[in-house]
Amino acid sequence: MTTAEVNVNAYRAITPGHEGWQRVATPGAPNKYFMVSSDCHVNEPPNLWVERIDDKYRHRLPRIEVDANGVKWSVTEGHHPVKIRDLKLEGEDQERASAGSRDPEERLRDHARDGIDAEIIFPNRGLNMWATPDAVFSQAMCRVYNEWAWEVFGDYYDRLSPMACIATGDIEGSIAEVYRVAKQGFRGLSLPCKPAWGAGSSEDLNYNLPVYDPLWAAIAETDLPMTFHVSTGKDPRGAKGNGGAVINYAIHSLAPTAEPIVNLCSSGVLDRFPTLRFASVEAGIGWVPWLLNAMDEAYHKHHMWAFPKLQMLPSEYYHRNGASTFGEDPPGIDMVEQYGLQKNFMWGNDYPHHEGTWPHSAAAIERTMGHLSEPARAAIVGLNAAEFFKFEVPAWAKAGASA
Amino acid sequence: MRELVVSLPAEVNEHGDQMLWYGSWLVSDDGTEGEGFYSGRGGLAGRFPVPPAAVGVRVRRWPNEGLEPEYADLIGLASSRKVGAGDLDFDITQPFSRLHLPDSSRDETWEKGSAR
Repeated sequence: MTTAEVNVNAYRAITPGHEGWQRVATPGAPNKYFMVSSDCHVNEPPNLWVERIDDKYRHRLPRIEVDANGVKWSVTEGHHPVKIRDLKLEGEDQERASAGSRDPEERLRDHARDGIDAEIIFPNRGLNMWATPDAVFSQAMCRVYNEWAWEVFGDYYDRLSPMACIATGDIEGSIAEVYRVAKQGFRGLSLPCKPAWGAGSSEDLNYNLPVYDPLWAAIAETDLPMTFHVSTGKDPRGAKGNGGAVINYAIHSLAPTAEPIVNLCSSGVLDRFPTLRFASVEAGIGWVPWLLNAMDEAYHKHHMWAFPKLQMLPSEYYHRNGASTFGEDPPGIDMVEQYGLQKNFMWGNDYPHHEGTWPHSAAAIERTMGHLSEPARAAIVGLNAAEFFKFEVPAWAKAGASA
Repeated sequence: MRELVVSLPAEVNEHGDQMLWYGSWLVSDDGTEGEGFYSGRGGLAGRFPVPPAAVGVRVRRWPNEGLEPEYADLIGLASSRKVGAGDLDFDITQPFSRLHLPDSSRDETWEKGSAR
């Protein structure tokens, strides 16, 4: 570890400790929480899609192109080209960049270092599977990923659980894929934040429209939870120039994850399909109390325009059916108990990404969750995700764990 | 029958491993691909019968396995041909490039799953 690296990553290990906690997040501790990381990623084989996609789509897969000046660009259908940069990482940053293995045993070793008992796995490069206006092409890429993910993790499914990816712009194909992956045994689904790729228009397909009822019926029948991961549905690089990195992260990657939640909670979908479960992933939680209030405010104050009339307030559907994952979000944690969201929030370490907490999750949890009640902390670091994704909770973790 | 003889050099990628290669047939004048004929690590020479529809060859390689593949196209398979993948130029604009001239400085920004 270099001196420079110590300086940039030192904050990750800073902790006020866990004095007074009945359980702890420390890896290997005998009184450790049951910890489920509700947001992890896997590095797919580099040639996964090239090898397995239908021939007719291969030339449309992402690739590196060289321009007239010899500059290399990553080209993905639906994205602005991204210049390839020679990024030199070292120390812990390099370790994170090399982690995210597709070897289940290696992942289990990495999780043991961080105290993780079970994980929900999302794609890595595969987050680009939705980055095309052609939903049938997108579905073909999703199916390649799903088949591979089950081959690799099917035997480890009690601890390592990938979400099956669905390209919802192709409704008929989505229904078929939902039934297929449910039969296979997947624990949940990963849907894009918007079914129609791009900046968005009122003319686009979206989840508030009754045309999606057949898909909701299939998902309700299979009883699989839906997740909406950040950076899906549109190009997260909506801004360029000054401030671009910050603008694109906060506004064009994270914030759009609120849209499917509002679509589901305000449109009557959850009256017609009251058992659907949904979660925003990696977008944080501080905005959730605000969003719930904003939805109810609109429903009350714009009653003359708000239709259909709902059986409950929009916020109540979120409380009953919804969830949100986060990594480090101190403002969000501060509001958990005040707004009664102890059962709705699920922690995740975002392994192995730099914006996550691996392998210092215990310190991150101690920094941000010290003021929570013991049951709320136990729920948020693992028991909520276990219930949402139907992991079996070991007997040792159940004692005194009601939020 | 036309035949393609391909040699894939035993190059080392940025991770210190044998380079990963993928070869496929180009089957139309717009860059559409047909079947793949090779997928795997380098250090290999192979002979492959050319399908009737093939008009060229696309060779992909992954110098960095956290990134998308680089590629080079070779057009012209009127007769049997030898290709040394190590002699292909991956550092030029290819005939069926899908790169529309970039208008931006978006390279400075973050993308989920990038910079592996």
